[in-house]
This record gives sequence, C-alpha cells and structure tokens, in this order.
Amino acid sequence: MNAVDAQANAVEVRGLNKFFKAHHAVVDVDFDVPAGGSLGIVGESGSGKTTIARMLVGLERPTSGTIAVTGRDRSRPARGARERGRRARELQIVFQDPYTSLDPSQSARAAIEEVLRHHGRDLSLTQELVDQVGLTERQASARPRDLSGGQRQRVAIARALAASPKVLVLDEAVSALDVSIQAQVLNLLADIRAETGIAYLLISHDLAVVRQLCDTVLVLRRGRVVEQGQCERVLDAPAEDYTRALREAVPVPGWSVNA
Amino acid sequence: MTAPLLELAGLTVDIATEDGGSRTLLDGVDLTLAPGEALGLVGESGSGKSMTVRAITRLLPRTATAAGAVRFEGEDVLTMGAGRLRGYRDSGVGLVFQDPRAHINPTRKIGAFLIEALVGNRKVPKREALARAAKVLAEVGIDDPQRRLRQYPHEVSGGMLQRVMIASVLLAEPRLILADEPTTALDVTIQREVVGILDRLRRERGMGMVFITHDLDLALAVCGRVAVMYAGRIVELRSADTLHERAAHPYTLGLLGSRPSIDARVERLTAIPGRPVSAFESGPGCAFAPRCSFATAACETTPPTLTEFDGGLVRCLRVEEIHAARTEVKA
Repeated sequence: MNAVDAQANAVEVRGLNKFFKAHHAVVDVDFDVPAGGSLGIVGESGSGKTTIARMLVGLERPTSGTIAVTGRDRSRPARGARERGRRARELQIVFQDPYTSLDPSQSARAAIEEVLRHHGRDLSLTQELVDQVGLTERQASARPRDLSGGQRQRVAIARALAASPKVLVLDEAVSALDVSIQAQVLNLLADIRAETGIAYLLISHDLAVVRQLCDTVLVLRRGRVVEQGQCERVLDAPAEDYTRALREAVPVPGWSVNA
Repeated sequence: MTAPLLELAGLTVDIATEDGGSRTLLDGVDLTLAPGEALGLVGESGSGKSMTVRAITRLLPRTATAAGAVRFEGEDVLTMGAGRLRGYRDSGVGLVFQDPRAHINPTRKIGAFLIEALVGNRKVPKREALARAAKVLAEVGIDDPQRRLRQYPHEVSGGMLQRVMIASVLLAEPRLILADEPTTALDVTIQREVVGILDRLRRERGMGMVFITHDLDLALAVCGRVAVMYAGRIVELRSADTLHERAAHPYTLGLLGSRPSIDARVERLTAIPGRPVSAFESGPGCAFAPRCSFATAACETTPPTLTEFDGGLVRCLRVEEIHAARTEVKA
C-alpha cells in the first residue's frame, strides 16, 4: 500500500439523505471508515442502517449527499460495465441470510470461480480463498442446501473476497448464526482483516458483536446519527441517553428484567 | 416440597423418516417445574428445546412419537383423552411464540382475536369479554386499549403485537406459560420491556414459565433455574445466579466463551469447533465429544448420565477432572 492510499479513507459519507416518498429514512448522516478500519453501525428496526448499506452498494440511490469509496464518488448510479466492475472491486457486501443470497445450484467453488473470472483474476486463487475461510474440500464442492448456516456464511465471505475489495459491508452477517458458530465467524473475520488490511463496515443490532469486531461505532436512531466515536468511549461512557438505553437493554450477568 | 406443576420424565421423541427409519430428536429429558417457577431452556439449533415445548403441549409433528411422560399437575399429557387435552390447552398452558405475526389472524381485528376463546369456549358474553381484553391489554403496558381492540395486526408494531399475544395468553388464565424465543425478533429495548412484562405477570399471578432461548444471559436474567440442552439432552442444569461462576459442562463453558462481551473486546473468542448436532447425529457416547477439547476415547463410547455436581446437574464423564484442572489454573 502506498502513502497516498494509507491516508485516504476507505469510505467517506457526507450529508447523506434518503427519502422514501414522505418518509425521511436517512437524515444528514456523515461518517468515515479509515483504510483498514472497522466501523459498526448499530440501531434498532427502522433506524436506517440497512438503507445506508444498500446505498453504499448501489442498490438504492441517495436523495442527497455523497458517498466515496477509496476516494472515488459513487453517489450516482454507475455508467457502464467497466465502472460497475470497478465499484465491485472497491466494495462487497455479505448479507444476513446466505440461503437467499447464494445460488442454490452452485457449489462454493463454482461461486468463487465465477467472481474471480468476472474480475479477470487467476482461478488458482480459488483454493486460497477456500482455505482462508476455513472450508473443507467436501464443503467447497457442496451446494448451499447441504451446508449449515455457518458454512454458507463462509462461502458468502469467500465469494465477496474473490473480488479483492478494499471494503466489506457485513449486513447483520453473523446475526442468524448459532452462538458457537458466530464465534468462529467473528474470529475468522478478525483474522481476514489482520491478514489483508480490508476495511469493514458492520451493520448490526448487537452491541457486543460490534465491540468485538469494530474500532469505531456509530449509533443510529430514526435515520439520524445519535453519536459516534471509538467503541470504548461510546460503549463505556455513552454521551447520549439513547446509547445508554441501548446498552442497558442488553442482558448481562446481574441484569434485572425490571428497569 | 410442593407437588410439581410440570414434570418431564424420560421424555423421548422420535420422528419417522421417509425411508421407514426413525430419528431421535429428544432423548430422555427429565425436568420438574414448581408452581410459579421460571425455568430456562437454552440451546442452539437441533438442541431439542423447541421440540420439548411441542411435546409439553402435545403439538408434535404427525410423524413423531413420544415416549416417557409429560405430567401436568400429576396427569400425563401424552395419554390424555381428547376432552381433557382440550381443557389443558385452553386453560392449563399458554404459548407465546417468536413471531406473533405468524400466529395471529391478520384478517381479524385484535379485539376479535383476543375474545375468540372466551366467547367461543367459555361462553362469556361479548361485551364482558371485550372489557376483560381491554383490561389485560392495559396490564401488558398498552396505552389506549379501546383503540387497539379495533385495529388490525398490520397496524401495530412487532413489539406491540407480541404484547397482544401475551395478553391473549393471560386471558385464558393458564397455570403454565411456555415462551419459545418470545423476544428474539424484537429490538433490544423492546425485548427488555416484553421480558419485564412476562416476569411481572408471572410473579403477580403465580404462573409457572418455561422460557426457551438461544441467549444464555437472557435466560439467566429471566429464570430461576436454567437447563442447557445439546443434541436432544440436558447437559447442565443450575440455578441462574450461580451458572456464570459454577458452569462445569464443557459445552456450557464453550457457550459462555463464545459470546462476545459488551464490556470488553477479547483477543480471540474461544469458539467451539464444528457445528451443533441433533440427537440422531450423535454417536454412542457423549454427543458433545467430537467438539470437546477435553474428550477422551471413553467419551466417544460411554454415554454420560446427568449427575449432581457442585450444586447442579451435569452430564459429563470427566466433570471432576475438568473442574479440578480449571480450579488449579485459576489459583
């Protein structure tokens, strides 16, 4: 990585707004994800966190504001296949439910190869990616229906990494997993970031998961940023009542059900 | 000691497969619940926690067969006649499910849903039934109950609808509530309100509650005792206030280590390798052995029994050695 890249933020969002008819879903949102950094966006239902993820990937068009990934603007829809390909190599997404985001007729290996081929990368990288996400030979040849939820999520991660993106958006990517499997995938994601210097943007409702995986956190409510900063600062000494309420609602040892 | 409200004795559930064989989903579950007690059932996929609830209400899949006993106030639910079973489901036991939208008729108003059983089964006059429904809605913390009675399910939020479901259960005045992941689909702040309501009503009305969840810390907060299930069996049972300190089964320890903490980041989570299995996938010995870092050759072949250890019940052949080793490391 050269000096210029090291300084550029992986993601820069400024004055982001999204209206769905009269509903103001995302309101004046600003944030950065430093190169190789990891930002968690937390919020409850209707906070706008998934809408932000969808705008980053290009599935929704911002009403106003700018989104830049590795310094390149993507506030407007991509024109042409070249630009779309380039954006795909900048940022990839992993969804919550790998059942609906993987092709049921494709083995893990075929899914990874398809992406490598599309981006003109060497197909011999397939094995590297399979190993990187901890899939066995048998699992790599299996179809999604023969894999467990955790294994399918590993396939989805490998498929996203096949484009060699600088940023990975994880939209509730570990939320549906069993606790013991969730821990495996969280460890895997931490390893991948340490090895590759990829930046994460984790969309989650789970503050503990955010603390484990992210350096910084942004708390969102009804489309607005409530507060943001380093995880330790925001979670240990919340400045806002809403953040405090969110934190206190998480069951921990000694937690009482009657607030 | 008071007679138990609910007693499961050697409860085993097998399900027939298409090729004529059968698969075990629950294997010898023993549990007792005192009147007014809250008991947590915690486990991952395939642990059998939801199947236990279905067996308690005798709402098993058509191809399933249950052995052992489910006794409610001393009477075996599995052998009850149709009339007794109807009475038991009407006023003995109430069910709160994870997804209220899937269990409340979307085409009828909330009021009609709430009074259906009162008017249909108990011949309560409609006007009185509606008054009772409004009162119970207020009890579960719903403002303006009269207006809510006239609304349709799609007009209210998920958290509100879950309260409606709890209200519908309360209207039947059951002695036992079965709550199967009642807050899993809700936001954390709403989750806290809903479990708070369940807890308060259970205390006020002296109802027993079986609370099923994948979230060990939530179960510990809501229940007096917690049973950890793995592959269709109970592997550890302890009082909630000592579980964090005294957890002894390697699986319980693994669950505690797997969950990230909101208070601090750890270098690595102590993930349990492999994936959770169902009872029929497990070998002749301990079902957890293939994922257990303490397992020996004996664990693969000898099935452990649920035995007393350190104030709780633990199903592990090596529990004493593991405990001794862990105490040494701590000291």
